[in-house]
Amino acid sequence: MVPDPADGDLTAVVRAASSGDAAAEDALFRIVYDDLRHMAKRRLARLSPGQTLQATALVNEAWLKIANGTKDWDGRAKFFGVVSRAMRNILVDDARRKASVKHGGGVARLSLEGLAEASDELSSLEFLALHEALEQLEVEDARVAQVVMLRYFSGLGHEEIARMLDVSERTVERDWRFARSWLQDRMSGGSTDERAES
Amino acid sequence: MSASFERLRDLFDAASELAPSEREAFLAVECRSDPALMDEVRRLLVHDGQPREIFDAPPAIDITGEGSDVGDTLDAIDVPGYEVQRKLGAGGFGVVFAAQQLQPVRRQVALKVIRVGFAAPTVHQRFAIECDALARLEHPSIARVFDAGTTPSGHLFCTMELVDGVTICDYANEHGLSAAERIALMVPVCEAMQHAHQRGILHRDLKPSNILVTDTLGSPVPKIIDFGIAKMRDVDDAEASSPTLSGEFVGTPIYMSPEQADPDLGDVDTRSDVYSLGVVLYELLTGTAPAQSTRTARPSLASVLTSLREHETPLVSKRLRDLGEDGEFHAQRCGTTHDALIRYAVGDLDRMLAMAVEKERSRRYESPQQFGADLERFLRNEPVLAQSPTTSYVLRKFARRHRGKLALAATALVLLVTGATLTTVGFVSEAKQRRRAEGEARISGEIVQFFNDDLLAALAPEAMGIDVTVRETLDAASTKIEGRFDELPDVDVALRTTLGASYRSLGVVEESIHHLKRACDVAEQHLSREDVRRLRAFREYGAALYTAGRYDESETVLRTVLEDSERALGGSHEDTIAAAFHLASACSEDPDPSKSLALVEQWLPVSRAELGPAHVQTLQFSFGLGHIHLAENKPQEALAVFEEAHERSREALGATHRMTLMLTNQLARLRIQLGESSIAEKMFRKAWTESIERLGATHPTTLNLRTGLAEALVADPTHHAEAIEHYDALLAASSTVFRADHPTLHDFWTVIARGYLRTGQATRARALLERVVEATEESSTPKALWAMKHLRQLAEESGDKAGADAWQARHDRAAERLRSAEEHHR
Repeated sequence: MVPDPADGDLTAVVRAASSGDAAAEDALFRIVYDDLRHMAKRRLARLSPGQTLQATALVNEAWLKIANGTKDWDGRAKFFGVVSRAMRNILVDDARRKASVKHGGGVARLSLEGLAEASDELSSLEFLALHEALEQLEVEDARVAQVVMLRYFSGLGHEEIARMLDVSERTVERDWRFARSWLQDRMSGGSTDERAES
Repeated sequence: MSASFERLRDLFDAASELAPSEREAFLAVECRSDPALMDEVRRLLVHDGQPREIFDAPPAIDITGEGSDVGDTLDAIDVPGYEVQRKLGAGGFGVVFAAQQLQPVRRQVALKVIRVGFAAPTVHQRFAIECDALARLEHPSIARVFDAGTTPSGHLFCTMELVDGVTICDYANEHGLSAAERIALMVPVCEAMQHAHQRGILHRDLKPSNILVTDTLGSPVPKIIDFGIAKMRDVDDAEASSPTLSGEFVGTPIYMSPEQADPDLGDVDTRSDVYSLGVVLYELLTGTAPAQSTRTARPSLASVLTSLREHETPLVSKRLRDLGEDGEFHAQRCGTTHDALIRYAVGDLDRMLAMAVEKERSRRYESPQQFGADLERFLRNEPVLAQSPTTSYVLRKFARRHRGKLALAATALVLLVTGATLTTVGFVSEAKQRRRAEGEARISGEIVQFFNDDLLAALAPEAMGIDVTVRETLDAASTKIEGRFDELPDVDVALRTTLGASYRSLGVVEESIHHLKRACDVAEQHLSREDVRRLRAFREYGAALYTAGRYDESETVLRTVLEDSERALGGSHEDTIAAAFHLASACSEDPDPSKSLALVEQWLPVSRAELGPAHVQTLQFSFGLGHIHLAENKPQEALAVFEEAHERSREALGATHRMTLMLTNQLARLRIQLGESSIAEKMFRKAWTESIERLGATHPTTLNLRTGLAEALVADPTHHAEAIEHYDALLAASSTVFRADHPTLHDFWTVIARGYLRTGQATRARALLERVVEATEESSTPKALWAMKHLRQLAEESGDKAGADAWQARHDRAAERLRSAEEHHR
């Protein structure tokens, strides 16, 4: 039974999701996605132009708010898994919007003219390239991709990630080192450059 | 996880733990059978530990632009005294409306409203001051600013002349303006910018959409709009001036000067606007901004970033040519043909634009006024200020952009080319010299462009690894040059000559002859007999024929070159002396040494006097003279000549210079002849090691030194095992270095066979001698006779009487043929 998110009983949703309930996980994702966006909007409204809001800071704040002091490690792992995914989606949506503003929708138009138009757009496209490379990595090696998700989108430390994934800290370190190189390689063209097709 | 991915991961983990210097060897072993995998691991290792912002900084979230365009809320803006009519556009800063000013006069204005978010309290005041300054700009090509203030709802606004026009590029294209008309259209824009600069106002965001053209009075009037907005934007907000940190930024990257794009390069000043003016004119003339190029359709992100940062701006003419069909299309819009437009751009126009969009601003036009004045001079066919970049400047830029061996290889090649083509010759008249200088400057410009855009692009470190060798540089140049200079025969000749000569010096004879032959053909068609470049092409061609063992052809070519060279350049010119030397070399292969001796005796003193006793050319003559003495069986005289040359070569060129190594070789050989083989062995071993380092293990000079080492070892029976090892290695190496019919290869075989004979390796000797006979019998060389003689002896020693007789008969027939041929020759 999926707890109704409207009840605000997030801990229950997290618990249900972490016990393997797919519907609960889906519900959790939607809650987290909306929540993060809402928080980001409010936060950004108070910032002056030029200041940036770190995605990872936002994620941790969300955790503090939602977890409310729980020490449930399974739930924590599941939560950060979901929240990383939600944050990634938000960032991807943002990047797509920026990248498409000037092109009427061409998301991955990697032509020079397109890129040169705005450095803002450049970083958006770079981010989208990262997103696509990460999708490939998920196919090749789910755990390594998971490490990237937790570290990059949730800002977790290696020690914490190791505990969540039940591997050694050393493994997490190596996973990250490899992933970083592998993703960069894919992003810069690598061997199978399929980005431009999407 | 796929097996191949797992393998990749394992290799990466293992290799990344190793010291960088050990990784290659590790991969070579692990990936023996899978070069693609090796390649991939290598690429990953390149990224390992490299900082990259996207990974090293937490992602920033910014969803402010979503569905809440501030402009929408401004639609019903109320500004006292104005009647807002319609929205014209919106940007990061706010919204622009068309409005009717009601008082004091009724007129159409553009009303610009700044977003509240940007208007921190202190900004208000500055905004007012700024608008005041702008209001004082009075120039027909600057849109007037009328008024500024704050709306009741707290928005900042200013009003300005509403320009009813289209962007300068659209105007030019729609009206089919010629290239000259396009340039003329930019002159008042430059003047207007000068006017603003004199009042202390920079634009900072000049681009075609900010230069509108109206056509009200029958002639086009360009007007600059949007002054100072950029400046207001970053007041009190240091971070916002960095485009990478803020969502909206000042300026548009493709029209932005490097110093605007990278704050580390220094403050923005008037020359930043000059850069943008240059970019706009560049777009008017080519239809593309410098940073756009249809050639690089869909590049990877990394390559785009690199090209924005590092690539030089292509010359206007080069861009037009590269654009192909797009270039033709643009030429039509300019009312001319593609070729004609390119011709129009080559020279002054190329140089003016290059100077305006120069990345190093100290080399740019100092002011818009200076740029505009040069444009006017160009339109009046007067000499312009803009000059071609000097060679040293170009080299400096290479060295800055490319590090390590790549820089070395590329720079060496550039030096070769420019050095070779830029030699100014002292015998021509003033006027002729000036014309020549202009021609040379153009050639140097073309070459600079070729190296920048074609060669270095092909040598991109990401494509070839950082350790690019001279050979790879040459191969890249060799591929890129095909068809590239069909319309510029003199450049084609100069470049191919250098390439051919460079290949020859690396011992790559076939490539060398290919380029030199082509250079001669083109030179013959397009250049006069006395042209230095043509003489040089033929001289190098003759030398390469000699290296290839085609002595007779070489002699014929070089004899003509020497005559032409003496007539055109005079008898004491370096090029003439070089031609004489090559001719002497070709003649030295003739059985009769007198021709060669006569040449050396005539030209060695000339070379010593004109070029100096330690000049490579003089040393080469000495080398030749020593050889002739040896051929005449005068070892003591040869020794004296070689020793003196060796001494000078060591001093002037260094112990590991190829010339010094060759002389060492000669001296050590003489030591063997004089019975001092242990001294010879030491000399050879040292020179051989040095030659491997400097020229590589398979270079003919290195191989030659190795045969010397082996010969020195043969003199001592206890060293025979080592000697045989060297001979085996030499046999393998020489057969891969030289073509099967190359005379030098047969020389090597002969030397090696002699070594086998002297160390008692009868089987190996016999096999090799038979190959020598097979390769040389037809031409009846002394080598064939010598080989047959030894084959007869070997047969005898093994008790094969019939075999020995057969070889004897064959030997006699060949000897007879050689004798009659020599008589015929005389």
